[in-house]
Amino acid sequence: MPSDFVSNWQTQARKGILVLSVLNALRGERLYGYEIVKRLGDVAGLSIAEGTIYPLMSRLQKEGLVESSLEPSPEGPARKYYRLTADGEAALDRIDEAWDDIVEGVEALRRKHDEGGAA
Amino acid sequence: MDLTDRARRDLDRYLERVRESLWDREEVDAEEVVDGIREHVEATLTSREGGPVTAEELADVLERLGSPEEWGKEETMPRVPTPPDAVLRGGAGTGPWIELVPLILAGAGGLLILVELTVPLGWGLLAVAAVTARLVMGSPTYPTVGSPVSAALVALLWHVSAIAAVGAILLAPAVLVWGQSQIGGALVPFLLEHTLPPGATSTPVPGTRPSGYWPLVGLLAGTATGAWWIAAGIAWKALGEGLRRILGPADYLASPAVLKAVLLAGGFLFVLSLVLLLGALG
Repeated sequence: MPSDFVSNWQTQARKGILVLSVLNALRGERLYGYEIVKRLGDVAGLSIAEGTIYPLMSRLQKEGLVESSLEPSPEGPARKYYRLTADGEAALDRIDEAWDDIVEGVEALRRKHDEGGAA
Repeated sequence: MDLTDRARRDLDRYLERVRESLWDREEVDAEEVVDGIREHVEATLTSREGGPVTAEELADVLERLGSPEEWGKEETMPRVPTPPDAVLRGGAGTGPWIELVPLILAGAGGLLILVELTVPLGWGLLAVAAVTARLVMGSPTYPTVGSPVSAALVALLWHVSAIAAVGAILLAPAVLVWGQSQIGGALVPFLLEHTLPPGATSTPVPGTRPSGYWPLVGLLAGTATGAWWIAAGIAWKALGEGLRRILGPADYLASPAVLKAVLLAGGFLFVLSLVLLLGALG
């Protein structure tokens, strides 16, 4: 039971973190799908199926947070590049603030436990 | 990207799974995701050297992409299905139109079975119903289906509608010729002229046809159908990827094997029927 619980929690946690990670990967940059997958592969603990990115990018486009453009590639067929829209930048700023608040709050709880344990 | 035949079939099957897993997610453009996956596979394998991509090389990439049926668990939050009464109140776009499809199919079936003189009309309605179903289900405003049973039934309808549309289109000339020969259209005088005995001015018994009438109808239908299949096969090939997109999960109907079969069968039917027809008329 505990391992199932942890596994379920990790799945739920990734749902929100994935959007946060993708939007942050795109901040100030223009990336195509494969590049986004590779960037996220470097995020510790965010082990996801690579294909998960593509429906997410489609959804973010429909929500107006990301826009795409098809550009020629020297290595083969044209590639679809993604970048944040102005709405996406604004949403990411708020998401990052919220994330910082969450992390700070959780870290405070952990520090309290550690200090209590040390005492 | 050059793939072996087996690798191409595996990729096509994987992309079909992608479409089927996303068909009911109106917030996601399934064809856009399919394009993204294709691009991902190409980007992953483009740097390799050697001949065509093998099935084993492709399998590694697809394994890292993961099972399309599982993607939703890692990315989406739970969706709220659209209740049927909200659909009927007109708040969900094309939902109510899908209710018409079974009625049109039933009407077409009735016309085909019960009233033989209206076969061409019934056939046309069948094609319309199938195309309508396909367009509705492909619409981004198609409402979410809540239960797994409903989703399975609609997924089945996707394939049924595609097969019915393609079948109806391919058999249209034969049906039209047969219908004409039944209801006294423009073909009948021509057919009677070439099948009645010399000197006869009407059929021997009112309401029947001369003995050579129906074979001639069959040869005309075969010639027209064969020519139609050749033309359809050429158009099929020209549409290429566009036709596969239209067919969605039923894109196996646009596979090279099916195209080849249609062209070969059409050529054979056309030549054989035309030779026999010219012999019968001559």
